[in-house]
Amino acid sequence: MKKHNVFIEDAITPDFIANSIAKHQTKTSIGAHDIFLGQVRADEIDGKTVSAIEYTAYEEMANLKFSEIREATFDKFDLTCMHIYHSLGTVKAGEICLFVFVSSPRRKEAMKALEYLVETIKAESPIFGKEIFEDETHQWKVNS
Amino acid sequence: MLITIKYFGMLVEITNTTQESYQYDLEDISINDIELSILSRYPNLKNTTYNIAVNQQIATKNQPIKNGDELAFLPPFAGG
Repeated sequence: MKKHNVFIEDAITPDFIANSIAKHQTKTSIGAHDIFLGQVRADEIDGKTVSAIEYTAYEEMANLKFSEIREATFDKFDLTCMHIYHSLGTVKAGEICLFVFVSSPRRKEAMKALEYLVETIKAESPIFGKEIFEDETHQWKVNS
Repeated sequence: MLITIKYFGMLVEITNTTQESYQYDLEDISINDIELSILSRYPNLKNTTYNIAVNQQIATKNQPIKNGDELAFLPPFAGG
């Protein structure tokens, strides 16, 4: 199974995303890209505002899981390529923590694949988020 | 047999460690047996929600364990 490096230290920058798009200009069988960007939300909980999320992961299991999810998605949809990046470490409110990028000859396949991929990543990857408030207290995030 | 146990996320605030090794003298041991011994060591884990993975795969409680296995206590996932 091909190894892909999914994890990125801290936030995923707009420059990284732009470069990723630019790299696909040579792949001219692609007719449609679809991109999901997960951004850290400044949720207000009991009068306190989330200022950042600190991400940790069971990295060995997450990498296996991401490989399985990639294979399942390629089997289900007609995709040319697929990229998944997730932050580890501290990501401030307003910054990007998840970047999922799928490309296909046709838009409908790209759009269906992206939704499947994002939902599966959120449900199955062993990643944990500590929501840090402005007063430096914290609580643990749970995906809804 | 020697078993490695890993803890993640909020569970580390209870165990105060991310990883430890246990020596079990029994031959036949299941995840359930190990879970009971961990819960008696860290009773506050009973108030949390977690799944257990064996060698990076989510496991069922009656699954047998062998020497060298790695168990992980995983709180709810929060990726994305």
